[in-house]
Amino acid sequence: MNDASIACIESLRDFFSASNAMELEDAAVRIAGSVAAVIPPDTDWTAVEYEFNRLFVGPAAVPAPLYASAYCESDRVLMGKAALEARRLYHQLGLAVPREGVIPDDHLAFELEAMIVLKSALGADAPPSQDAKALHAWFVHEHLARWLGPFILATRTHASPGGVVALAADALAAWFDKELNTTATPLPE
Amino acid sequence: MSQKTRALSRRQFLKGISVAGAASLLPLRLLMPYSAEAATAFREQDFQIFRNACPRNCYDTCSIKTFVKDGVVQFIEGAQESTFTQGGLCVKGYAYPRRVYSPDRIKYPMVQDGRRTGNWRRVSWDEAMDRIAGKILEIKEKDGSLLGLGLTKYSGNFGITNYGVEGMMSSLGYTTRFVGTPCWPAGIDAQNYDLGDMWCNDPEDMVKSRYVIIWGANPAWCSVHSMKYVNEAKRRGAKVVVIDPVFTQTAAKGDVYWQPEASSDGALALGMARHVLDLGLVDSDFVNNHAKGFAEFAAYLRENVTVEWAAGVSGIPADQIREVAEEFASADPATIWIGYGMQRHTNGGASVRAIDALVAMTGNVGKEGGGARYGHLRTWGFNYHALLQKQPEGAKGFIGATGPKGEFDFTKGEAASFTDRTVNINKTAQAILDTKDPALKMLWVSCKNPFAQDFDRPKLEKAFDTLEMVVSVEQFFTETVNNSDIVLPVTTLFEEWTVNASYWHYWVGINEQAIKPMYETKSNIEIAALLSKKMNQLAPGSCTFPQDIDTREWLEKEFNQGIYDYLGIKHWTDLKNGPVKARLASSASWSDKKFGTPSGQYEFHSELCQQNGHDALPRYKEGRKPYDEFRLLTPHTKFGLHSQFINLDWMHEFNKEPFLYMHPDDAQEKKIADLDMVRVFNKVGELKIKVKLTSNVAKKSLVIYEAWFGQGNDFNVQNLVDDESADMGAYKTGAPGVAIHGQFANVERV
Ligand code: SF4
Repeated sequence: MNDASIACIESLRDFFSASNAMELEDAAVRIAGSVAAVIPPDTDWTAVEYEFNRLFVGPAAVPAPLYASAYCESDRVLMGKAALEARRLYHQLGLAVPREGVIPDDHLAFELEAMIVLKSALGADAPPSQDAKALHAWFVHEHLARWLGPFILATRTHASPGGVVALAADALAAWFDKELNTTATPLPE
Repeated sequence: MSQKTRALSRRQFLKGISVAGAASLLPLRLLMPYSAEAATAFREQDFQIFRNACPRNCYDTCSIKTFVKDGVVQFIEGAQESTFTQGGLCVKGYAYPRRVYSPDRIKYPMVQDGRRTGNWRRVSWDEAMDRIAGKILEIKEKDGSLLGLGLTKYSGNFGITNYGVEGMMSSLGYTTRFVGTPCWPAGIDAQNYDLGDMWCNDPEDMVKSRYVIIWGANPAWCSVHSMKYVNEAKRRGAKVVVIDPVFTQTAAKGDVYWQPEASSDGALALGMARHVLDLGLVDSDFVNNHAKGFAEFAAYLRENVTVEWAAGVSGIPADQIREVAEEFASADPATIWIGYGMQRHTNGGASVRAIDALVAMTGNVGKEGGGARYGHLRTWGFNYHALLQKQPEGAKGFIGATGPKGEFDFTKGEAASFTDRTVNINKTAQAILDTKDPALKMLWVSCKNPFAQDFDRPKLEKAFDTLEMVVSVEQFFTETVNNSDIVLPVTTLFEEWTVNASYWHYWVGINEQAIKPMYETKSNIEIAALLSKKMNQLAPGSCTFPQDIDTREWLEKEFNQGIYDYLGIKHWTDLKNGPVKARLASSASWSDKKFGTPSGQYEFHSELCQQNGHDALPRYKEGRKPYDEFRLLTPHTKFGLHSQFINLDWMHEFNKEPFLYMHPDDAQEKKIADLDMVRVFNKVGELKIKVKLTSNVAKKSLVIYEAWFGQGNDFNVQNLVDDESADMGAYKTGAPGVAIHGQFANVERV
């Protein structure tokens, strides 16, 4: 287990599940720290909140939904197969989304938290259990890889260049690139 | 590896793996320990089937079967039990799962820092209610009453428990209500004057008709389930005549199509009536024994109406009028379906009365397979528990009016020293601007999207800007939400309990909660309960609405023995087995010829109508004088219901963008080619739109379907429609209707 990497995922989780400017600031500062970026001190965090909601939350139609299904289904619709896949993964980890079915299970923040669990499991066991390795590999290659790319692209397309949301998208992209490149595929092609 | 095998191996691969202990030592923020019972309230193995009902303001009010697996709506279908729904929905209905699972759904209570800025912040329900309740109390403090708080609500969600929105207002005190209906009021009044109520035959009995005239309705789009009865009547030998200023898909199915001058319907009906009179085809038993004032009506026809005159006004050749009139009077039974489109005119009520008269004089009223079909509310005898809330002790209100009215107002008009202040829903913008002492300061919008549906949109924006707080309860981000300060996310039909009845057919179905309410959505009555809690926290006794709501219990409270008897059920839970149809003595309305009029007879001559400022007889009334070069028609679109549905991705497949439809000859004159971009403009405003040339529309008329396409499209027909009143509607619905089709505009290429 790499503590720095876990901290980075935690900060991304907290950013993408933030519900106000304060939470966004708290998470973004940690994200910046983990990727050695600097956030201008005069950042208007309320403006960041407006942008975050415009991109991800609403109430207007969102250009970059935070849910895997929006990218994995042939139509742009939530609670599709990807959500149930995520649900099954959490169950296998002995976890569940609170009041299951209320927030789609494949919300980015839930998935990042599941990733923390998986990575901790890999790091804690010596040697790591085959199940944990397999589940992690599946999650990275078969699930996250299917939607984080288009999600990051949508975010970059609609976020203000050089802004805090773009920074978070870059950090997510950088983390996931590394995760993908260092994780063996779960199944032979 | 092929996609399929890969997916399969992925599933198998995941099976059986468990890393369940992994999380036990971690401090997690979002996920919680999994326990099968606690986390998944729904059976996993197979589908659970729930009963739902389409709550849109649509003739068909379909009974829906919803298939849920893993707590997720997988698909829906029309209920087989209802012979009306017959196992099928319309395209809009089939899109419901897209609605509940659209990523664009409104998920959280949010506040906008500056209207139309797009600067939205999430707030908790508690904070939202704090702001709202705070404002309500501030208004009360300043004005000494709550008349500065307005409610505009209509038919966006017709589930009966949604009358809790009105109930919520009453529970706060006396407020300002936007009353009336943009839909069908002129016709309702007309039928009340003639027959004593609006009460139509069972649409399923149309198969018995030998002659069907569909007059100003387009069921092929707006009541798809009714078309099977029209088609069956036709198969059994009936002739189908369609009268519409637009050559619709319904018209394409008819044997005869008339494209009259819009608003000339009254002349056409009276011309036919005159011919029936001349031929001696009047049903003398009916007019002598069950009607009042036929002699005067006949005298009016003889003295003032000729077929040639009717032909001149309507543009339909005299010989055709004679032919159809004779066939109609000779067929037994014959029926006319009076659409809501034809009464959206300054003479709409008078026109409906003329058509009623034609149906009545030929003896087709009270007859199975006959009837002047318009609508009914016979299956709406619920308790209106959610609606009927008491004002708090000491509440001050309006003195002098009779309180709110509306076609769905089922309060029994108890005497009170104060009432709500009522303003015309069809003049929303003007009413907001004009209402004084106290002025409107706050508006609650629910089950309605005024910016897409209320008239004179430019004026509406100005009016909204005078309001201090606008609260919208919505599922999607409409232009009204954009003009609001606070938006509250509301449940879809799958997420609440309610019951739905139709104003057309006689089936009633319950709407079960099929899934948990997603995100932070709440039903209208739960929102009312929350507001009540907050009001009472801030000012004890300031709101009488119950503070803990179970939507299932509230559904139960809507039922009574009368409903059970009418539907032939023992308990509302029987409806879980499927929708039930009312036990009708006859499929015909008025089959006993006991009418609801003051005389108890069909009234060709109505003193009540005269007392209310109209002609006692269904005399011809001219339509609105043109004020621009073209007539402008903005009827309902095929894949939407006002501003609902079209914003969904599935609908975009069918209907990506709006068009103006105009006749090729007019286009040539204006040097406009097919698919050109044009500007349509009039005294109200303008819009830019692509044109399609078609002879389906009459010369000198422009047709633009009313719809809302969602984000990235600022198309809005209400930029061109003013709020001119229809002639009738005030008697039964509290405000006159609106001349939606009495509109004019010009067009040029851009
Ligand atoms: S919109 Fe009308 S036809 Fe379509 S599902 Fe709803 S009630 Fe049925």
